Amino acid sequence: MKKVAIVFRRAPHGSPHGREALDLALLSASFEQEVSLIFVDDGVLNLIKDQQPERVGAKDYIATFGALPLYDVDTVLACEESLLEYDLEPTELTIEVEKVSPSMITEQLTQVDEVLVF
Amino acid sequence: MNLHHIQTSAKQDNALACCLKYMGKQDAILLSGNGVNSLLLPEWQERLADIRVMALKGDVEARGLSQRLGHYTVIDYDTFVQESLKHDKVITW
Repeated sequence: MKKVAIVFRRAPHGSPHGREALDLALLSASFEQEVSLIFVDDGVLNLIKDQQPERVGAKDYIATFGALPLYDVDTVLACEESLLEYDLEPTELTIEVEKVSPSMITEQLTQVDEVLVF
Repeated sequence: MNLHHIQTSAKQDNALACCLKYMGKQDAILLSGNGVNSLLLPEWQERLADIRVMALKGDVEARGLSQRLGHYTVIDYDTFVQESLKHDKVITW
């Protein structure tokens, strides 16, 4: 079993990266990989609740974040500095995340076997 | 110890800034493609000063930057492969 970290660093809906990142996360988890998600920079905007991607003709993958526990993806980290930059409170997020410092993210990137950035 | 691979210009994409924020102290950075252009900017020269930085030779030569980037470590594809084996993993931002 490999430890895979998937980093979301881009804002949603402007590019397919966020959707692809989540697809890969669920796929890896269903193949018994130990998956962790890390939201940094503009990537934290994926976490905002009540998004309506259909309004711009995009697929609503945001709703699928809710399925993460079903796939046993329990490690979901978000950079506290990035959340602060966008003034995002935990109550404004669509899923529960662990707010961590940049150095804890560095630690996670070192610990895992593979890191994929989207 | 990780090798961070940046392929985009710092002016165009936040990859380099993001990598710098979350990389470890022992990690190295490899610049390829338009990523090599970041080394021309004083702001980035300064921010990268204490980090082991390499630029891919073909991309430096293709852009006519061999002289300007003469004081940086410029590596060929063979060395790129060696470096990626020397590090625990490669993270492409």
